[in-house]
Amino acid sequence: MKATITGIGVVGGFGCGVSALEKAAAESTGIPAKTFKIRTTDVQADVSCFLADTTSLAAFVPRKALRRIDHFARLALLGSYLALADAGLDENRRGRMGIVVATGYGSTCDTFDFLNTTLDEDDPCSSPIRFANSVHSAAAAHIAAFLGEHGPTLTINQYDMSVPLAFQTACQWLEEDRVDSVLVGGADEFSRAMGFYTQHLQPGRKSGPPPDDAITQSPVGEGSAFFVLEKDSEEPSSYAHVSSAGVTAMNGSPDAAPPGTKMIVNPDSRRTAPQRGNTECASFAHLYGSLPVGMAFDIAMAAIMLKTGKRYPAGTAIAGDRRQKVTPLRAAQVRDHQHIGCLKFGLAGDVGLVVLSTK
Amino acid sequence: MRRLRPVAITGMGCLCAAGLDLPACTDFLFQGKRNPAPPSRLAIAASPPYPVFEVPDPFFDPTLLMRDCRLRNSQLALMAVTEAIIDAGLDRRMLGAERVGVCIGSSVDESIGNRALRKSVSQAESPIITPDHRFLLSNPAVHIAREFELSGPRQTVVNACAASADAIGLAAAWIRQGICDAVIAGGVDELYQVTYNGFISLMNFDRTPCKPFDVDRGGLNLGEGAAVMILEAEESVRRRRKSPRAYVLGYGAASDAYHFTTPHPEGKGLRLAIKEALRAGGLQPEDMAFVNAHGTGTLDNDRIEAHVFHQMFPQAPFFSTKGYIGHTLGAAGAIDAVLTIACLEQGKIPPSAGFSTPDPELPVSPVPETTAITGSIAISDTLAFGGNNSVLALGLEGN
Repeated sequence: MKATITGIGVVGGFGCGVSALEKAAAESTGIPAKTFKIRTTDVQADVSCFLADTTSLAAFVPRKALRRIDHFARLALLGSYLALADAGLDENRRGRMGIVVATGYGSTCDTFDFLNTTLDEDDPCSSPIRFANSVHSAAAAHIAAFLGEHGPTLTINQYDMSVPLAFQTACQWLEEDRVDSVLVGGADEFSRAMGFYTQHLQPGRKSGPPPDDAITQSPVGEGSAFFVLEKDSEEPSSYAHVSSAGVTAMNGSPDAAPPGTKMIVNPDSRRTAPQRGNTECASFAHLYGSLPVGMAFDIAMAAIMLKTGKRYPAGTAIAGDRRQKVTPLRAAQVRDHQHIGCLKFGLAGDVGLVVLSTK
Repeated sequence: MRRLRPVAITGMGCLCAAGLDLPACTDFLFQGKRNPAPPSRLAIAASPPYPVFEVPDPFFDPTLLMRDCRLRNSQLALMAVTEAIIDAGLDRRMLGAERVGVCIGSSVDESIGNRALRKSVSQAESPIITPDHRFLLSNPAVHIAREFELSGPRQTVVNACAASADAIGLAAAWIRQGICDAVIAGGVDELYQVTYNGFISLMNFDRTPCKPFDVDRGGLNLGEGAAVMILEAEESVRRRRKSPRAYVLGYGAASDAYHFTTPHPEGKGLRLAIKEALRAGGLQPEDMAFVNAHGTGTLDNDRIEAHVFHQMFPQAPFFSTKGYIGHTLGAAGAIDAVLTIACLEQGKIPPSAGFSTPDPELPVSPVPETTAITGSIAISDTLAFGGNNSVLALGLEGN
């Protein structure tokens, strides 16, 4: 059984929808980054970030219904609706649908707000809505409720490995006939926490770990990328098959990629890629920034390229262990697409790989 | 949903307020005691404090481990894993040589990392370590994989109170699909100030020891703990000549798609999850020796479960563990799963602590005393925030 990507919904600093991502990829540059000022006791820094606008969610959901939905869940909701619309999958055709949401940080803004009231003010009567939205499964639950879907709903939180694990689960559900389709994707929002993360990498800071050259190259990103996966679809409108998806430890054997597979590497991991022979690598993080679920956007780029046959100029990818000299591969292009692997080397020593193939 | 192969369970470990290993926890359930008390480790504002079920200290034995571990959540998980590995007859060398994965459910692990980070942010200090490192330091799946040098996938499921039941169900699929030779699957949650205050804000925290399914029930009490199972592939079990202790026969999950903190009034998601678990195991409702209910003691949860059990398992006795150990949130599904198997092995189920007076609005009530059971298969169900419902069908026989 092959899982087929039949719809994609993306939201990020580049805009929303597949066409916005394609346009940004074709132009390669020109996405305006916003500036977030970090002021700490030892550093003043301006952090560049790509912020996502969710106002177009109103096209799918009455604004009144969104009153209690926070920004993180709105990102996930908008990505979901866009993916379903792209797949042309209305509720009559999608059968039993599962939902898998991957996130690196979860709803950090709500979590921090709730922590502020419970820890600083020690308030036992703090907002129940804020508490509910701080629960990591909130976005998936809101998606299920808005869509009226009764299939299994899952949230995976394994930092930078959340996306390949989510794809692995989605494929398992289809394989076991647990569902007819899966809405799977990743979401993360910008917050002060993510700003601090980047600030830590700036030179001139007095304390903390050493700056990491590999991570300072993209603005901080936020957004969501969702996919509709269906079984064995050969619909002309579908994008690509998911040949394999999974995670293994660095000392395991991750290579499920067929020979000649081109790789899109997501470079915002602190542990960067060990040399992989002559494997050609590309990166598109300059389009959506650095975020734990960035690999979901890589998968979107891979699927678009496999469907359209178009080639987009790639940004900087990193090969080489950070203990060695970091070697950027600039302006690599993904060619001869039959298989494109999306590769992520995780902070904890994991390797995540999702391989897409032409239909 | 088609019928799926059973997956062998070759070892189990558990610690919670009822005891520091699975035999102690099981014995405790049949002793008719419980020890809720005000939280001893949380800075709390509520007065008088709400009772909780804490794991008694000292529970952590660092001499059993190779690496340092200072976070309570991961310490709880590692103690449960150590017990399960010994129970399975495995050692570190064997674990390192096989494709062994880790799949852990939790509701607080990431939030624990946020707590320290929030302090740095609010005080405009540069944190000592970055958010990504904080996440990994507070991630029990990573701790377990590092401690035992495992090469398989490591995954944390954060499906609120259903998280660890889902983790076990997903891990069983890793075995069936050949991703792993063995998986350490389960859940962990420590008592945490955010959830303590959060449930108070939702006004479903009982100021007295909780009373699941009782007419006077007034909400839940929080608990803490961890439980894991070693799930093992047939080939590995055969090669080791190990007799499985039990089997994961079926797993089902479904969403209410109704409300974030209130279950569907007709238990739609729970019914679907039960049906899926039964279909996956090729089982019938009458095969069940008993049901281990989620039974939190909240008005809505217990009402929904009682009506669903009455219609779907009219013959099966049921009970709740929450009166003995509190609601352990992300660990609840795994703790209930290992206690379900322990009860199957003993051929009896305990009374539901705190239950004394039936609720006339509920069509069925839990067993009032220790009850002998017949059969070797049981259901354990969990209902979670966000309308997630997860059900495990567990049995002593694989056929």
